[in-house]
Amino acid sequence: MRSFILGCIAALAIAVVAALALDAVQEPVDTAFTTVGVRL
Amino acid sequence: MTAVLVSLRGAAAALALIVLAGVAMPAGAQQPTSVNPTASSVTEEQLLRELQRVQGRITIPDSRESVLIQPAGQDWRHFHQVTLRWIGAIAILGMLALLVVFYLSRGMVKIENGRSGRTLTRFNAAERAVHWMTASCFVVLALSGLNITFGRPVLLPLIGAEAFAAWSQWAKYAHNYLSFPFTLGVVVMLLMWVAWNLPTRGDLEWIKQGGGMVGGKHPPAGRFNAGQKLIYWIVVLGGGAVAVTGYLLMFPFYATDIAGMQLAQTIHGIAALLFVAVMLAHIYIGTIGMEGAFEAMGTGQVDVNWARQHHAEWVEQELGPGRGAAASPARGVARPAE
Repeated sequence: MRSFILGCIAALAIAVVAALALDAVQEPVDTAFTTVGVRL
Repeated sequence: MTAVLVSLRGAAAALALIVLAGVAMPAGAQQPTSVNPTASSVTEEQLLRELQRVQGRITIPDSRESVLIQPAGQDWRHFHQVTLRWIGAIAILGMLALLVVFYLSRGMVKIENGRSGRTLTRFNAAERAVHWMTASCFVVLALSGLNITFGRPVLLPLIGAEAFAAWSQWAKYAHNYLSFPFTLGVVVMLLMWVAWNLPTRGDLEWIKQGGGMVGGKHPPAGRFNAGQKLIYWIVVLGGGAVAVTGYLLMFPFYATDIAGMQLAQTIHGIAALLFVAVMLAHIYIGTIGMEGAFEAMGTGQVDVNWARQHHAEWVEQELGPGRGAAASPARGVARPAE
């Protein structure tokens, strides 16, 4: 049971780190694919 | 005489007019008028077949937005909306039906000599934690992935558009972000257990005897038998395939174009659905299919008699020569755990 909980916590921790890293790297679509002249 | 000459002159003039009219008639007018030779050559369907893509010129930064129509997308959409659903339904429902029939006919595989009361350490805490990290991610990835393929026809009518949209959005986030610990888990399991999962001669004998699942004999096996090795390589290779193709989709246009992503999605969908079907069998045999099996990943300790029945060669390696197939202690006699 302890191993199961440890595994789930590790999965969540890695997923959160991945989410933060991706948010820092990738731009939102309305920023990435537009210019100042064509702002959606 | 004069009248004859006048008649001849009139006939010659008429003949000349007929010849002149024949020569002057346009060539096209001589063709049958019921067929338009250009009517079938410019239909949209033929154009789409001929062109790789229909595109124009744009001024926004992303040049890929200039593609208006990519005809191959129609084939991909048909695969995604029709073919993939059939593959998934047959694989998953077929596996479930097979397992139900097997359980009803064979029942749970019991420990034949009963529990010995003594245990062996099968998986340590680190191995179990990595297994459960990968497994818990897999369950979420499988449910959220099945939602992508089957959610619209199955779940949407049941819960309504608003709830389905909210659930699908969060499922997509979970699918993306939990892919990272899942991939890490697959890599660690590859490194952690590869030494025990290489094919051996004993695997052939194990397969010939049906792994002890059919018939009464239990072929000897090392730490992992041929069936477990098969599961291991399906997880490693199948997990690797869904991870690579998944990241190609998660990072669009970083490493491939739209046709490459359509191929990646096709491979991702098929591999993932077959993966789910195989894991159903893995979960079955690890829980209700075999007495004593869940303890290996539950507490890490397995009963010695269970180990002797299914992994006699491994028991010999752990306890010493001649102990793998040795007579078990009497039932009910408590022995200290090793």
